[in-house]
Amino acid sequence: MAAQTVQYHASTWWLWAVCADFSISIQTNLVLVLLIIAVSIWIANSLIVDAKNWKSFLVMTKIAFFIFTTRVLLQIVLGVPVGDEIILRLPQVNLPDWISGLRIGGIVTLESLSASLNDSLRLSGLIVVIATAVSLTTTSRVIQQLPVAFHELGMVIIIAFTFLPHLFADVQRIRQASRWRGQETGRIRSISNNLVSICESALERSVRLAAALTVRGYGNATSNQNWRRPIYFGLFLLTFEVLRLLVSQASYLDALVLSFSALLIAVGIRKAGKSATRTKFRTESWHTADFSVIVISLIIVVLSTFTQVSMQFITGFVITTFALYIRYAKSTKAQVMVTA
Amino acid sequence: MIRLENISFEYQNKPVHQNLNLQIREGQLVLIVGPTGCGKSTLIGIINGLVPHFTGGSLSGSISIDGIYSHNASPQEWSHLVATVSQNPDDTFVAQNVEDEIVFGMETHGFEPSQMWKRLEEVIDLLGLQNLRTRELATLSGGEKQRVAIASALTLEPKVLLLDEPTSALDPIAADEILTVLHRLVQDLGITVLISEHRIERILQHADSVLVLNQDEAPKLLSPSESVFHLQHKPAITQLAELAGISQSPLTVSELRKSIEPLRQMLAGKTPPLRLIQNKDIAPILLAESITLQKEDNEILHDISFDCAQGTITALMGRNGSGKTTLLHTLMGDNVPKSGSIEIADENPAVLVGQELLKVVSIIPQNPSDLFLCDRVADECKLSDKLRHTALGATRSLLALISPHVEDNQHPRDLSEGQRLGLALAIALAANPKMLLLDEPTRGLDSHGKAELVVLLKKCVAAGQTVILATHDVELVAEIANQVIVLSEGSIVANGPTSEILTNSNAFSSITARALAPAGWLSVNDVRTALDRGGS
Repeated sequence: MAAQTVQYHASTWWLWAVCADFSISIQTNLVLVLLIIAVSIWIANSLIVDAKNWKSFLVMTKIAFFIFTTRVLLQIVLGVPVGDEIILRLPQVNLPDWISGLRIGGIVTLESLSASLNDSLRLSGLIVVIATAVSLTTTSRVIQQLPVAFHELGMVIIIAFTFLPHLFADVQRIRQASRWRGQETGRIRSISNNLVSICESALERSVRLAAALTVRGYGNATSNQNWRRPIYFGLFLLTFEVLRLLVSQASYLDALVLSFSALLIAVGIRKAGKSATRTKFRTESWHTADFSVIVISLIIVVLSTFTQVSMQFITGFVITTFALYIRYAKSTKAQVMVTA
Repeated sequence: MIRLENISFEYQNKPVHQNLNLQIREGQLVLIVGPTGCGKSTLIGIINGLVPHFTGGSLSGSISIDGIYSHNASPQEWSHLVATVSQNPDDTFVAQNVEDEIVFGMETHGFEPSQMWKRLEEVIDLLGLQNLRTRELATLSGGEKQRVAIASALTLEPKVLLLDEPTSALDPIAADEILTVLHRLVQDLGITVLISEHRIERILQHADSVLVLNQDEAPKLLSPSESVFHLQHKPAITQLAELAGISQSPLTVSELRKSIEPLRQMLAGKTPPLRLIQNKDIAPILLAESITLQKEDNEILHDISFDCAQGTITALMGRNGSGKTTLLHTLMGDNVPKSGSIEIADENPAVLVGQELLKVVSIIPQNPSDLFLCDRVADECKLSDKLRHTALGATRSLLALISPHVEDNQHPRDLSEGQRLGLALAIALAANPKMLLLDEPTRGLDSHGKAELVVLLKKCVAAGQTVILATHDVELVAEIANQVIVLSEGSIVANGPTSEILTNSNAFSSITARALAPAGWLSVNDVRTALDRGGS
């Protein structure tokens, strides 16, 4: 009974990922960024039960670490130094004059090193947070939770997920077959011939899939098409505003645009869902645990917009408590299940 | 239940069906038979609406199902009345696990979740999927996938269930399972079931009536025992009954056994032909010694040892996923075994490429189209000559012998199943390989195509070539194989002369062997030859 966990809603950890990534992007304090990364890993470690998911989480974390180190190393070896505080002198390669823009080796300054450390840490932090969300939820489960208005988009993704393994198998098969024909592999002509074969078999497969979907009744008007445009417009506005907020100070106008786009999306989804003839088999319910995760995520977002040291101290405290809470919630739930 | 009136269908100005009239009553299991190209799939498409809405072409006449006239309704509007299961369920799956796949149809039709649960439970019980319901589709076997496909078709409680060659990709045991399920659906739920199939031996006993489509005659709906006399190639049971002089053809082996006494007496004193598998003086042409193959920590082949004598046919049999295809690929040198060795004519195929490989061993994969690289049949043949350094036109003249009706300008993928196999065989045989491997060569082949394949393989063997074929087709094995190897979960469980293996096993045993047991006769042709010799 050791493998019991709290059943979170499929969207919960994605909401946490969005919030945490937002905080990482606007945060100036590197200690807090590090803390968020640590908490993400801690959460993943506490909640992932499936060995396969843990493996994929580790792979993504390794990728993040790889990106971090290569970026920093490239900055040291190739980057143009900014500032005066010299901390290291590397032997410099003398390059001919005509590539004057490039530099290999030479001096490394504190300013450029800290800037690259800062950027790389954030970038890998974003990846780790996403990795947590990905490995805590099954993608198809998340897609099934999409509102009916986005159903077709979700369907495309799900079919792509089922389609991709087939495509890889096709590639494998056709490469094998070209050896069987007696072709020497690696030649341009054989590659282009194989590509045509792969496309042909993928096309045949999609036609068969489309026929099967049709006879199963797919493709009847599933949602009210009229509400789709407002939803997409709202999404566009929202994305635009979020990007704007990441680079500049917030104003009242931004708040207005944000709430307007949110309203547009909400109303659109509701209307489209009401007129839909389609239903969902799996509807997941929200539990207290989900609400607490989301509320804390939002609190962290708000707190990270402040730059005062005292507020940053509070932010760090909240994040740490959050991590401990997740571990605690898991163990109490497991105990309840064991006793019951 | 289904009523077709004056149906005519034309595709690219070629008539496929003309003035077809058909009435099928409720709760019948109807088998559709006929050679490739006679319009079996088109007929199924006409009933479910994919023809002409999805495929194009022009259709006239009227179709009614359960008293409702389609009036050119789209397949979507028709989907709650008519459900379709295709030949290869993998191509039609949209979800990743069993439950989600089954409810997909109900989701599109807007069922309430409570209703979905109820029906989900019902179809899961009906098809015995209890242990599979949370499994991922990719991990299921062929027969299990087909059962899931049937389950998801049934959730909308259709009146008509259409199946296009549902058992052609399945091993004999899984195929029997599916047929039993279909039989029960007709009996218990009163659904009308239409099945198109080439291998009719096993289905005939479950059918209420048979629709025989022949290019020359008007389609007829006949009783199963009548229908066998209208087929181009009569099933083995009918042929045996004829040899025994019984006028009414039985449909099951047990019926046949009751009335076959005259034939037994005629065969008394005669012995089944011996099929030599080994000439001990000559070293075997293929020698496989304890091959073990691993993929990602799983042992796929385990300690496989066997040999093949020159000029023999070896059949690899076994359930879906038992490792037949993997073994063929390993013999081609595509998989590197963890241990063990393979020698074909004293060479290791894994180190051979180009024409060196082709001279030793050639393979026809499950889907022969994988081998085709060009847009025209003529170019394909030219490329084959070039790659093999044979005389220009060698492949083309070989193709003319194997499939005379193929034209130079046709696209290889537009050929019929049999013609595609013919082209692949021509390409493979042009280099005159010492060994020929075939992976499920009779899948999708009609009885005519199968008979041609048998003749061709016999010629190859007579010319000194050695053949290995992986197949589910027991009748084919009974007809031509010298040696049978049965695989199960990557290990050889039985290896011996055909006469020994096919008479000892229940699932892998031919109709003749079962009808005349324990005499050891394997195929109708053996019996016929013995009788002819006795008469002269």
